[in-house]
Amino acid sequence: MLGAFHILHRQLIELGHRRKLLAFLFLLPLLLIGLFGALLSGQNVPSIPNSSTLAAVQELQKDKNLAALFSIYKTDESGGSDPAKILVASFPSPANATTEYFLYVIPGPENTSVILINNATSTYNSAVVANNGTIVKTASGPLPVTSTFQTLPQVETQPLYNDQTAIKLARAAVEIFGLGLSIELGPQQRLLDVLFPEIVALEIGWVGVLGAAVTSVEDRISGARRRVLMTPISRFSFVLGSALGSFFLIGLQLIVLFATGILVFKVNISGNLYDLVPVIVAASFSVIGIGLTISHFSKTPDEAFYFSALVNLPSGFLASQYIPIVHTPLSTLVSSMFPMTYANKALSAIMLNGASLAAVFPELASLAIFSVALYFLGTIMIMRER
Amino acid sequence: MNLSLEAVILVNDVWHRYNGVHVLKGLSFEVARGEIFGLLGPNGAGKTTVISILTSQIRSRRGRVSVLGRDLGNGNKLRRRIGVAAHELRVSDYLTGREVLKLHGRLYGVSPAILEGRVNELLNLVGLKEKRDDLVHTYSEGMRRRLNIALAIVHDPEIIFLDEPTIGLDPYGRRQLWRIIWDLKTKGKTLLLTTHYMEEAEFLCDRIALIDQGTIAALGTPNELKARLGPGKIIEIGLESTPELVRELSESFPEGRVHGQGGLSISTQNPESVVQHLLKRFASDPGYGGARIVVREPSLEDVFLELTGRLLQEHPKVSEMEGTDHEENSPFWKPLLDLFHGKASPN
Repeated sequence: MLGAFHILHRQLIELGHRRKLLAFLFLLPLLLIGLFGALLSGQNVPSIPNSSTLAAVQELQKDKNLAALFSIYKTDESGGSDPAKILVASFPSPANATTEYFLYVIPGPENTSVILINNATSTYNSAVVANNGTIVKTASGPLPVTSTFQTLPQVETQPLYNDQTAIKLARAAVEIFGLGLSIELGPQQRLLDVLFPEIVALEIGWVGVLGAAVTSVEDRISGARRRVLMTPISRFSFVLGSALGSFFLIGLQLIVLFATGILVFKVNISGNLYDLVPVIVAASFSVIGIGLTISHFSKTPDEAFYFSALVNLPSGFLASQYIPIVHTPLSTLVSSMFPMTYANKALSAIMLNGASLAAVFPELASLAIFSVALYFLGTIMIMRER
Repeated sequence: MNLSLEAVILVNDVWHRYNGVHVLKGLSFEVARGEIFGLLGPNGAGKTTVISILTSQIRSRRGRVSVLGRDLGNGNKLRRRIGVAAHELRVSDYLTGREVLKLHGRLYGVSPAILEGRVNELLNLVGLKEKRDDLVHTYSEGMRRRLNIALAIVHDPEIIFLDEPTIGLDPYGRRQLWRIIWDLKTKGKTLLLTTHYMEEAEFLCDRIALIDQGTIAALGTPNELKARLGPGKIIEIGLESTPELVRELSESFPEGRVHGQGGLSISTQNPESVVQHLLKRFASDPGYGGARIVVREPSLEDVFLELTGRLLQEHPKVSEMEGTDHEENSPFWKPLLDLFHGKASPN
């Protein structure tokens, strides 16, 4: 294992001699945070206090709520056409904080349907609100029993807080339900704060995959790896040392990013910074593993670059690194195969919502499994190379 | 000398196949402690494959290989006791000569207390003291080769493998390396080197194995090998070799041997009469006017030619399982990638 640290040491010495690369490593995070900071620091986004869009979406993705939702919607709208999009949010019950209400707002050309589901009691409240704010119809009762085999239409889901008109109509409907719920816009969040976790994930993803892949290919084609492996160091230690080098690069960039974000652009981190460390470590080794695997299939650094982009771009979009999106069931399934999806969720939860490490345990556990599996896959690939 | 008593390298009936082609065909030899043993042969003869097997980089398919009394089952245990200089320096371009040596010294487990001194001593030995803090990619070919040898001995190994140590060097650079190799021998090191330069093998090696197409054509000291030709001289004739001329000369000098490979030459025990005959023959035919005739001692090249019918340096290259040549392309973003890797444009 000592050999791994010698290899890491080599990477650091090399970095010291590659001044342009070193400058690039500092400039990239500065550029990103500088660009976003300058452009977005004055922008705010509305947020609903104590709400978690994620929970509502997850319930919807189980299809249980979606099937019930369509059934209620069809009844309320007397068999109206399939909705194009659903705006979602969730709230804790004022009576019992452990009970979650899931609010679904389905805008239409004339009326908007507002449906509130309580899965704990399997009941719902619904209202059809004319788009001028008049209540057209209300209903409540047990959730309709639906077949799990029925065909459900594809529908776009979006967080409720992005649509001011929908919030206004939902507020009017929820008041009628008389459950003591209130939908308040509450304090607004800076757009930069909302985007910052995604910038962090973006850095980890690109630097990790690309750095590991290109470094590994360079070591192979220059023959440096082969020469080092003539010494008593094991291949495992060599790969570990290289991976630690890539991890160091990620760490260096994140330090610059966080320092600039917090000190210059006053980015607000709601959660504990130390809680981010295990998430960042697990995410880094996951993407480093992907990079090592890519290097096995790349003959040149050019190819490694292309392959890295091929993995990073879809992974980034599906993990909501570029645009905050709420997924369809299919995209959710596909995005669940990328480690950065879990990294993004965990980073956002800690940095935006102040979630504790325990609260993001499912994401952290998934990331840990990804990091172990992908890192060892990459290591085995390289150990098989001659 | 009874080699088996003090042999530190033992190769017995080793076969190796690469891409369906046998590159080694039942190779056997022994190397004694403290000697410089040379594998002399053309490109593609299998020399590098032998070194790769002996240094545990690849495994032989058949036969027995033992280094320092150990069968090569677990190469890792031997690596501290052997040093390898591949036929080109393969290190990161973004390290200085001193950093490269220190890194490899650490990897070989050289104690930090002595590493600094050892590195400085080696830099002195290979004449790189002045350039020790320059990045390796700024080194000339000769400097790279000298650093390569320093790298092979940074951990003070018992056996040193040198693969074509002087290929591509000018005569001065070659002589500098010969001096270093000779110094190592005087320090009691065992060296196994491959070369296709006969004068290098003759100058440096205690014993030489002439290797051709994966087999040993002959093995012995340089003098023993040359003695295979018997007493006599080699007469080189500065004429274009044609089958007709070779046939004519063979008929004229039945007691000698006429070779047409790489130029006309006659191996004979009676050089004076052959030269006189040639001069008369050429004088009578104006077409041969001005042909140059050189009489010289036999060399290892002649031995190789005699044994294999080929010259040492005329063979087409056969893969020796080396190299990672990949196509080079230059996409439009290549300059960006170069910038990323800190490679400055030559402009």
